[in-house]
Amino acid sequence: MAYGAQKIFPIDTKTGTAIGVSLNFSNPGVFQSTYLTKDAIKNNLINFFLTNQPERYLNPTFGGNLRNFIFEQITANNLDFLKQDIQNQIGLYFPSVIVARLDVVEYPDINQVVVTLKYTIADTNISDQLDIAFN
Amino acid sequence: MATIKDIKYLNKDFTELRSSLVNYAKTYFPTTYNDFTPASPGMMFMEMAAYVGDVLSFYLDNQFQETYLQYARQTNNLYELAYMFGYKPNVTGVALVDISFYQQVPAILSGSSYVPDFNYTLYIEPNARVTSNLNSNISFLVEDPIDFSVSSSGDPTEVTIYQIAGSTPQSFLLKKNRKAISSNINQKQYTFDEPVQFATVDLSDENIIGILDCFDSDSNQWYEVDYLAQDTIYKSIKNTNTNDPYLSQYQGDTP
Repeated sequence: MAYGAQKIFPIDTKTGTAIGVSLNFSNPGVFQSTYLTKDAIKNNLINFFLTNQPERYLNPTFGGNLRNFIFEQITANNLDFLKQDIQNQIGLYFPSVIVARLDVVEYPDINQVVVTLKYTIADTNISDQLDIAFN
Repeated sequence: MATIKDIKYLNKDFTELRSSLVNYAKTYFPTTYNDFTPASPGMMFMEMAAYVGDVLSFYLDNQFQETYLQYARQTNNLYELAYMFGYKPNVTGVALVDISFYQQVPAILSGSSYVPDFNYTLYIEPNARVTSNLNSNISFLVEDPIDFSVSSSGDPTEVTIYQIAGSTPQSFLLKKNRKAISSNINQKQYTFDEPVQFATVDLSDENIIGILDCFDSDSNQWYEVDYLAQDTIYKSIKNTNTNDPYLSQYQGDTP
């Protein structure tokens, strides 16, 4: 009987060893460390989607560029394009992230679009969900 | 943890600084930060620090470059450096003309041939004023002195026979060329009362070419110097018997 081998990030087993910092930076002491790879990846995804191209110095293609859609009409075509764009960028910058489900829900009355991303990390049992609302 | 940390001082650009910051964090903060992927917020801060370092490095290079006359690009820096080396800008452009000056001198027998009698030669002081026959309102200034008695490769005197009686020259014609500028000499008087450090006055005239001389009320001449510590001014004095009876005998020798 075969078993699907699953990876464990060694750093997750080291208590007290921080991986990254979490967003946002309004916590006491400004920076709050993340101690699990799951939290670090989630914060990296948030940071990626909050970055616009070409804000990052010497890395102009980095960023979700979601703010470009703020002034677009909320139409089915645009939302489909946004959905495809997000999937492409995650595939490019987060190769270990597997998109389980991506929902883009529009709220035209309040000019808001909510992106819900359910994802897993390849070869691990890590799964999480990210909700981004922008208007 | 060691109190003395290994800091690299040779990094100059973004890539080098980013790499050094990552290594520094890995070395000295192994339990505080471990996510060095480009998407992590911590890397964003490290890259921002590297960006600032890159910009400051550029500023440093630029400031250093501006200290060299050969490489300075900003106009004001170029002028300041040039002033430091004694450059004096021409603030006014003037019309320039070539003028020939002639003098007739008698002939004198030297050995078996007749030569110009240089005892009759003229010496015209610097800044001689010359006006045109066509328009006397236009005057030209000959800045260099004219000494018909001296001839050199840099300032030759052309000698031709002017008058002849039979086969004997009676007089010679000496010719000197000089450049003259279209200008007038004006005089201004200013009063200085209490001593003031680095006192300045404004010359109200326009198109000023330069200042010829400066005298005080006691007829003492004041000179422009390159630096205030300079306490000696060399003046050119013609080596004549009147000026120096002893050394004038060597006026034709080259030391």
